[in-house]
Amino acid sequence: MIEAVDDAARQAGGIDDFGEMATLAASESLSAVAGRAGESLFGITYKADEAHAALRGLATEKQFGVLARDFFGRLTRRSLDYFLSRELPNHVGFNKRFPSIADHHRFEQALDTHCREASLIMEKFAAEWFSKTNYETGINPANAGRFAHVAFDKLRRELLIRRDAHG
Amino acid sequence: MDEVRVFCGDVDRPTLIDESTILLDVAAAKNDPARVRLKAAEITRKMLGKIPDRLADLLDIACYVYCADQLTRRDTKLMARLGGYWQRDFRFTIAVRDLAFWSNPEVLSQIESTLTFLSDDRFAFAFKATRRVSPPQEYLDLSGAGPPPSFAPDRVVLFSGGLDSFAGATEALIGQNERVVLVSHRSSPFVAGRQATLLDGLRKRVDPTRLFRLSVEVTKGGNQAVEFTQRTRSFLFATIGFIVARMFGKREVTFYENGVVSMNLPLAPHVLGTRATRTTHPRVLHDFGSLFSRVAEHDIKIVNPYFWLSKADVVRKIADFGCQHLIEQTFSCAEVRKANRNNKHCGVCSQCVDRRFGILAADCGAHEPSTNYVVDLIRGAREQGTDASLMEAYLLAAHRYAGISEAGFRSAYGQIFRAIRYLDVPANEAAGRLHHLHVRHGVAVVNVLKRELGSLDLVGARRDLPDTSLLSMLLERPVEAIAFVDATELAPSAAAQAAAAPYSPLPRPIRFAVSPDGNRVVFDGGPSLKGKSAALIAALFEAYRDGRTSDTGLSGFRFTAATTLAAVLKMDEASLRQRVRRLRTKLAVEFQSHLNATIDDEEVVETKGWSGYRLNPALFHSPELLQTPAMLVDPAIVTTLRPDVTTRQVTPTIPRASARKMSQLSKR
Repeated sequence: MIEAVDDAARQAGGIDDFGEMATLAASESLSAVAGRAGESLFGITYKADEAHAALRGLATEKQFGVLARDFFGRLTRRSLDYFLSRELPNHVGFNKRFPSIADHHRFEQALDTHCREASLIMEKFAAEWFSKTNYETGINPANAGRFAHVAFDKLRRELLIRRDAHG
Repeated sequence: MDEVRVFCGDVDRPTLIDESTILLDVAAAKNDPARVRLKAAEITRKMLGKIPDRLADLLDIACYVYCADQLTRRDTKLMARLGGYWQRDFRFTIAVRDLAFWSNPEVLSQIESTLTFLSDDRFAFAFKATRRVSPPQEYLDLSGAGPPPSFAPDRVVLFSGGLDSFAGATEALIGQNERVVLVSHRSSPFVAGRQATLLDGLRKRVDPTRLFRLSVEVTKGGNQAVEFTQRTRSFLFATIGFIVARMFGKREVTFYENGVVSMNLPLAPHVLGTRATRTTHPRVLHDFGSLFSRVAEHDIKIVNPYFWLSKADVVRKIADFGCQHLIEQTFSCAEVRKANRNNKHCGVCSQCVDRRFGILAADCGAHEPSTNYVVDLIRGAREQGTDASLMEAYLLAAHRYAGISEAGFRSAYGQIFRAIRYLDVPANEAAGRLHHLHVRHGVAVVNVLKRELGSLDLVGARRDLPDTSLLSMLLERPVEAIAFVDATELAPSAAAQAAAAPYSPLPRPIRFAVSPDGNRVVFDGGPSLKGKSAALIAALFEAYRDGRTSDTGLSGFRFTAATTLAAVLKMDEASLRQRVRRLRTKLAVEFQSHLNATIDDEEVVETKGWSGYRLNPALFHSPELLQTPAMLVDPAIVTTLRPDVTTRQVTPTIPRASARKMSQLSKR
């Protein structure tokens, strides 16, 4: 999948860092969520039909919701980490915010949990979008793009709500 | 970033030459600022005489790409526009000898995709026929007598003078008793000096006639380099290797690079794309091989025998072949200019950090004193900011590798999916071996640290260590490895999560019925409308029914203009818009309370610009709902607007409260 995205991106004139983060998050989500079911994304050889078989189960409304929740959680974490990772290493050591790299790692884990919790709202939203769009028009790049736009907006608002709730 | 136009060779030069125009020419006169100078040591005119035009073109192209790369600035570290300025946009116009070959769209696509994956830049090539007849030997600056006439190598090795290529050379020469050609890209006199020392050392270990070394140096035109990332350097290096292989009748070129560096997984999340260099990435080597095979019209392989080794494994090989005394002569540092002044590794760049850990992990520290580094790996003070951050990121990554599960590895490093299919082993095995390789690397780093911490007087260390030293990041709370699993590993499968999810997507199609008098509208599962809301839907119902019977697909469902609809409902247009808004709000509330489902604004009543309103063609009219409003979707009657889409069978669950309401409704 990732190569198909890379090729499409090359033909479209390249992607920025957010596009790269989304590409990686999508690959990681597919691997993690499909792999959790005991399916291999690879099979014995690298063939598209084996990957399709592994992913077929995710093409149902609720499982798509689970996949979308995982994807948006990863992408949110990657997006926040994109900025944080340039600064946090400066705060590791004696008398600093993170006394050791183990503390830095714990912060990263907490950030991951925060992003996963924030993305919980995406599960039902994505499942319902999948149900409606798959029935009415079929899923295509245009309506998937609109879905992503609305989804990011929802996620951004959710993050603001959580920020306000935690002071 | 603006498009950079690069005119190469004897093509017509543009009349307007601005900041985004680069002129390059390998055969230009000495005083021409466009001149690209190629110096080759130990390559003779006779050897070059064997090179067909197409290969000479390839060498020119690689030189031009390499020079343009250095003459065009990338992004700053601030990464403005989300890295948008990292990528550059090159438009090359190049004069070539074999125009028919290079103009082939498949060749163009191949070279563009190879270079784009290697560098993240965008490339477009236009080739023109050269008017010159001069072969490369006419403009190359040649020196040396070349190999002995009878020299026939077993292997062509790309030799940078770093630990990995030196280990590869020792293994080929000593371990496998091969005759070897070492090919170097001479990037600086300092590095060339180190390479020469290593060769002298090797010649003392093996029959010198089994070893032949040649080098090529490419210097830019009159302009100074402004960009030092040099992501396309390995294309030039590999091209030179391929041409040398061709001179000796070989079909394989060998890069030696350990797999951790070859994969080069980013140390931190902001290191994206080719900010982590892909010099010897498995796909890059594959792409080079494919392109060279097309040029040569037979199979050419670019191989990396050390892909499944870690840095420590590579250093152990040098020791195993009895060349440990030469370890300190190898050179890995990115700061060549500084090394040229002090003859030391900087100790702070990622190459130095990786090198030193590899040497210590292989128990070869005694063969390279720590004073060979400006900054000591373990105790040295690093500059706050870039250097200390890099060290911390390296340590954190290594500790995670040491404790990462295989599923966690796949789920945290999506970059591995760009390599897996090029690893010549079954994909599942490749993923497993990649994981294992990185675990071994992480464990090696952690063990080095454990050893260093164990030998430390902690009280004294706390007093004396600089805050930005490696050890100060670990002393407060030493850790052996960080257990790293992906959150999905601890969760049920997607199917189990879906089964337990406390919601059900709305069954499709949404079934509804309008009462004959237009005063009541009911939806499958309980939502219902009365009064003005129902009247609005009833006013659109005739057009919907016509659409259903027209059998012309979506276009048969006409919109009712706002003016017409307002007249039917006896209100003005502003009131109509308000009525539609209220209807949508009421529908959202009804669907939420009865079915725990969220519907969007267009789900029942669609609006399209000036065309007006219509009922969503995806609705399905079921008059029987007026009698049994709580009836659920019967999959047998589900239809679809798109004959190519197979409708799924969905059995929704109705919340208890909604079921109670539906029951009350049916009693009424």
